[in-house]
Amino acid sequence: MKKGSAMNATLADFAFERTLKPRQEVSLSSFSFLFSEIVQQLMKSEKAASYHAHSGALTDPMLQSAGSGTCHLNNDLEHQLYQLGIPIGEKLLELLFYREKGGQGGACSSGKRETKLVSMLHLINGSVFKALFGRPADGLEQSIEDEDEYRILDRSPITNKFANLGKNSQLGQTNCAAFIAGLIEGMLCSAKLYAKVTAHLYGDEEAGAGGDAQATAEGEGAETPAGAGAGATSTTIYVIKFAKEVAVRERAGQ
Amino acid sequence: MGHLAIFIVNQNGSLVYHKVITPSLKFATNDTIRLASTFHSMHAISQQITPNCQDIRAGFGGSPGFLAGTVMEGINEIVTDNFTLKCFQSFTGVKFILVSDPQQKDMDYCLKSIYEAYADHVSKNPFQEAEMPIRSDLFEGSITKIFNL
Repeated sequence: MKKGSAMNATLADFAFERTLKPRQEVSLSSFSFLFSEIVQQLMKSEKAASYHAHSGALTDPMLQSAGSGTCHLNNDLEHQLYQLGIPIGEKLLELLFYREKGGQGGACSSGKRETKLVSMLHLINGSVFKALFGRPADGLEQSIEDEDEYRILDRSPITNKFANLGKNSQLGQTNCAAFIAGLIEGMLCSAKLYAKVTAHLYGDEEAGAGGDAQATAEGEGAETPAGAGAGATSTTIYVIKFAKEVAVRERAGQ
Repeated sequence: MGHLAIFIVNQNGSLVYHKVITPSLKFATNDTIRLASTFHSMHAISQQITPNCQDIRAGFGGSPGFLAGTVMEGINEIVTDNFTLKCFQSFTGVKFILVSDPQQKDMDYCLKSIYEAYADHVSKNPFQEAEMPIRSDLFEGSITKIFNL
């Protein structure tokens, strides 16, 4: 496809370029108000659901399908935010690949996409975070205990910038970055690198996670993590655990 | 020396937040609630009995901002020998009250900063219930930063 040639350019190129690349920035306040409303809606529907639930029984179908009874999330609200982020991530992958790699002005008009695990993670760490939040993520590391587990570090996720529970609330600690965790999972699954992503507040890390892979439950983010200023407590780690078949495929391909 | 206390009163007159900045000042909890309700009532009454109040806010903290041009109704300032009390009422009726020493010059600026912190950490906080007391760590953090506590 020749660049700039009106006859050979497809309709999709015009549609995507002109309308979907207008402004790079959205006001943080707008997003915060919208997100705050989303969380409040979820809280309201959760309260309504708990009226119908009787003591103890897990009536929420999403929790039941999460499997094996041990829900690794603190509460239902986080789980719902996480479920909300997944479809967004799936669609986001297509869009970002198109903008970065394909299209008329793209670096490579054949539109290649990432298939390798590590390069995909680097893409998320760098370009995706940059496109979404304006800055790359603060760290990407591989877990020592488990080869299939990686971590992305985020000093101040925008979902947590204004939304924070007081320590003495009955609802416990809800990490709104579960939304971003869902987003990352949607992206990875859409790229066929199936994984489970969870968001944890950074605190005193408990070494030696046994059994359940998501049991890397870090403590509350109340302590001052290294490098953070006084009062900055929302450093979040996204723990990405890849599925067995993905890891096997990666190793076979090398 | 310096600022003495902050009170934030909601639209219904109940105290939503208070903080004592000078360590030497002591308030009983009931006192603060009573003070807030009393001030709320006086503010409302003064709006009714002020003859033809056409004071327009010139700008907030010295600089013309989005609040410039709004009519200042009700009690804005109480000046005494021992303290100065300044009250800022937002568009929704939330009153921010700052009590300081008479010599303090930066009261307007402080009120503006408090309002910004409120807009950030209270309005955008989904866990903040309407009309309820403010219990946000982030809000406390910003307030301490404003007054360098």
